[in-house]
Amino acid sequence: MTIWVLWLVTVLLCIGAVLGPGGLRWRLSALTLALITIACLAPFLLPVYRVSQLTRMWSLAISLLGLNIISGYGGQVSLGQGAFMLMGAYTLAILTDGAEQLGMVDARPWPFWAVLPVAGGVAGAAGVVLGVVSLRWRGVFLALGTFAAALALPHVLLRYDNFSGGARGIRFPATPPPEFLKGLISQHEWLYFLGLLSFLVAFGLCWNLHRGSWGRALVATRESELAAKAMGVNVTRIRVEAFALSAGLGGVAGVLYAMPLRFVMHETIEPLESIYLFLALIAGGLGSLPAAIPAAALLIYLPTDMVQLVGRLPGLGVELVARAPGLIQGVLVVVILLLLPYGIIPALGQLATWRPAWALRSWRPLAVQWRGARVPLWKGRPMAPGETLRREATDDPNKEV
Amino acid sequence: MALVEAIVALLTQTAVFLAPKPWENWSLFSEQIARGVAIGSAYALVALAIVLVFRSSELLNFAQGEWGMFTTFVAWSLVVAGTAIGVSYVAAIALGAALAAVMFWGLVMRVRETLPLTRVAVTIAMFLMFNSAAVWIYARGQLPKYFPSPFGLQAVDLGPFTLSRHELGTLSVSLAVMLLLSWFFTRTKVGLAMRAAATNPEASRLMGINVNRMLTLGWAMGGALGSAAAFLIAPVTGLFTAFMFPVLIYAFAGAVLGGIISPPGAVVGGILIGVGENLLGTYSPSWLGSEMKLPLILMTIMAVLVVRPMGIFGQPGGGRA
Repeated sequence: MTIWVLWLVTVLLCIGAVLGPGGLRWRLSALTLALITIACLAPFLLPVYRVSQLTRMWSLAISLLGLNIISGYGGQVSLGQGAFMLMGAYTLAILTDGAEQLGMVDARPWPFWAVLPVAGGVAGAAGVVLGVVSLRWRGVFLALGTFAAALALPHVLLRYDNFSGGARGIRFPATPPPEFLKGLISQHEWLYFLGLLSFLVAFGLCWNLHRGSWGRALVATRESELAAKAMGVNVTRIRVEAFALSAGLGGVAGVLYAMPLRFVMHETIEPLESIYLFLALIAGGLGSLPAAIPAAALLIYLPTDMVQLVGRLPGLGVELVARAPGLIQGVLVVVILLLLPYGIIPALGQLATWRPAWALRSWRPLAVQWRGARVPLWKGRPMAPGETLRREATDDPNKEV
Repeated sequence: MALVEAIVALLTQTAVFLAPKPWENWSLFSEQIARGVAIGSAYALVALAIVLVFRSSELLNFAQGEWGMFTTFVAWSLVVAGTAIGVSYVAAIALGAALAAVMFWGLVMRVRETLPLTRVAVTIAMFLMFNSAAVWIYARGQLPKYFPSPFGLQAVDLGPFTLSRHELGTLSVSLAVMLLLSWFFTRTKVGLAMRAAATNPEASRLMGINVNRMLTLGWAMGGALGSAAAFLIAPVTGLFTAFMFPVLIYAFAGAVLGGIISPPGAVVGGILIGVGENLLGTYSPSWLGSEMKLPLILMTIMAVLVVRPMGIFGQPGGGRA
């Protein structure tokens, strides 16, 4: 129960920061500070199961940060993020399991602080390869090309089993906390804080990058490659760099994801997981960095707690939850997409400007508002967050724009 | 010419490693190719469905395979309940079309397209929903279920090789459907209107075409095609809730290989994938193993796309998602 109180406080704090008094900068700093405090207190208030859930959430959030760089800011659809996470997880397993797969390199188990950058580097290198291969692909071709990588990797891991353990997978010992923390915090709290710290570092990195010239150049390539080129942006280079960064963050996330499991196999992260990551990012809000947190929370809570919650509704019953969780998940995803077409974080940003105008003016039949939801373009472009669709007073509300 | 020589040299070099040597048993080789064409034509039907949907609303339909799976289960339950095979097939195909139309009209069209992929997210959600619904309703008792082939599974001697009656039936049904579709899109008014609505919605609206109706019709045809293809595939693989997922992957690959906007491309791509899958299954060298079938197919497609980023039959800028 405590977990829901914490989430409620978090959401209320966010809403308060959007609507509250004072300058924006002040409100955002206060919010960040409050959220970090909550995140640091959480493992001491929650049961082990909830803490390990949150640990997984931080690792997924790092992966989503990377995905947001390439897809949200770079505008390149990548459905291969799960493959990079799997690479990171296998790097951790191979380097720490004590058995020799790479001869001299991993004869002795590596410490975790050395594994993290190596895993990031391995996945980042794979990202460079994929980025170079996919340079000329656009749209669907890119989406399916990257998804092909996610589909192929588990098969390759199965085939080369002297390296990856094949279908048996690899077991590796737990990562104990460093000396100065021993006795202070328990194992699962240590993993939680490692995840949280890594997320904060990754977030800081992405925040600085996306505000600097590199991020602006990346967004420029998203808006128009030709214009970006004309302004002197090296489009090829920035695309490959974005791919590498996103893949590297995926690798780091994979390490943190696998650490509590103490076991990896080719099914640890399934190919469909890559698609779910993208789905969650859309629901969280593509192109806004904090979206990684609600998106990761969705990935964690949607298949477990939210499905069970919906299953408690009268008339649905336990059997539906046990046998067809995907049905409820699918419905929930569609509901989120219908209600918050721009995602959770942009919807939060809209709160400040939102006025229930239609509700005050008249009770227009629901069907009319429903029809309004299908207008895809306004003045030839997607509607921006906060923009409202104004119609002439005499205009027929059923007419399409 | 140097390129051709290099390719021939490469092929002869790699052919040395092939497990059974094709030149020692030509009838096996030709039989495998014919098999590949037969199963590939079923993939081509799904690829055609994907192309139809892509052309009408510029999105990849991840739910395509699961609709086929679901309607196949419906057809199976009808057959088990005692309905004639033909009647239950037609009923299930009609259900597939209706399902696709209702899903497009009721869900996909309603989601505001903030990004090109928001609507794809809806199709992924539908993938989940239908997969789960099939598990919920039908996955009781033993799986895979036996799904009868309307043509029978007896072998037919064709001179150099033998094919099963089901494979011949798959081939002829797919061929008939493709011819019918090409006639529909080139010779009928509705087909022309659908193509116009897909190519230029604004102008077609001015010409008096109800664009939304045409798009819904495109989805319905995609749903019917996917169901028909699933009926042709289920007797081979057996009927279980995941049997269409690999088919969906192959169909995506075929559609992309063919250039995603081109129906003939989808047919060629689907058949190429079927042949490639079959040949790799038979001739994959021992040092590679059969696990590498899917990665090899995918890598080949990626290699083709590196050379031709818009697919074999595609046009530059044709694949905007």
